[in-house]
Amino acid sequence: MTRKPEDLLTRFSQGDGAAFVELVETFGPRLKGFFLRKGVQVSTAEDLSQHVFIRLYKTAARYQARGRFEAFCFQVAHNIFIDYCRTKKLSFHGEDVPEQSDDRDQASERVEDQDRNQVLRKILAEQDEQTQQLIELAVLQQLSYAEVSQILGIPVGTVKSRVYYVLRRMRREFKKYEQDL
Amino acid sequence: MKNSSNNDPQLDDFALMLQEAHPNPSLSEDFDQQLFDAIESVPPLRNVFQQSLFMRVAAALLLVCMLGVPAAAFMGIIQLSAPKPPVLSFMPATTIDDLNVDIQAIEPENVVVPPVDEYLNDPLYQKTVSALSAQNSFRLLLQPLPNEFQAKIIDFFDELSAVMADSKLNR
Repeated sequence: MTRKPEDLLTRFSQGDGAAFVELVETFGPRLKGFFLRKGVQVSTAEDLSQHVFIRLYKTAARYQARGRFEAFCFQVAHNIFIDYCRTKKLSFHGEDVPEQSDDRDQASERVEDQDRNQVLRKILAEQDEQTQQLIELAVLQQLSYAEVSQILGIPVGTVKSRVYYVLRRMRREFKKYEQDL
Repeated sequence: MKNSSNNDPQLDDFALMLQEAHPNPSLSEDFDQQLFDAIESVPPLRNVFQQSLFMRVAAALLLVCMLGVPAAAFMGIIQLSAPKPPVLSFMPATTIDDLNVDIQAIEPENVVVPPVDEYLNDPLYQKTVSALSAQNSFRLLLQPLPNEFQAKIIDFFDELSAVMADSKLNR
């Protein structure tokens, strides 16, 4: 039986500690990936993920499942990253070169340099901040257009059209890379 | 893909490729431990008040201030809306009879009434007035004494003044 994440937080607010652990296991890696793709260090990404969970922990008692938990969770993550950038006086590109491939050894990195995934990561990394945010939420985290619209504060129609055109552009760039290879 | 890109299968495939190219990294081994340590180190508000006297006092002061200001304003409004009318009191004038003071009226022998204003600057007239005034004052001083003594003292001073007048004339 698959449990909805919003049920997990509701159960935790009712005193079920195991539900919170399950929530951390489910969303921890997603949040870490979310922050890593913003261009922060691995340790910072984990710290920020922990901040998200601490905020969820504090707000659990007041949480009311009005929408999908994913949208709420990434809204919190988005806000925490904005706060982080403000305190560190950083742009949304983060503090350093992304360490997305930290789990891979360097040898395999060099081999996969020509790899399709590497090319795709590079294409996404070359996009501007807004486009990256849009792709992150709408494509990688698979939030609905309405949820992305709520998080980024732009109309749903704009989200939809931007995602369409950005994907089309990125796909063209990807094809170009493939031809060059 | 959750958000189908306008029914474009190629774009949907590309979105899937993007997802596959960005796998979620695994968490570090001590992530859970660090998280739960951090959560435990964040004391609930209730515990903070239970543990710290300072926080309780500060909260009480804050509460008093928060409640005191509107309460004071409310009381001020009430007082402004119903001002007390000024109390007008009347004290009847006291008469001499009410004071129970034994005042004996003195009838001076000679009452000088200036006939006209120009006498005010007349030296001879002023001299007469001064003499009569002194005489009246003197009689007022003697009034508490028995009549016999009064008469004798007055006679004495009359004689004295006569002698002094004679001596002035002789000079």
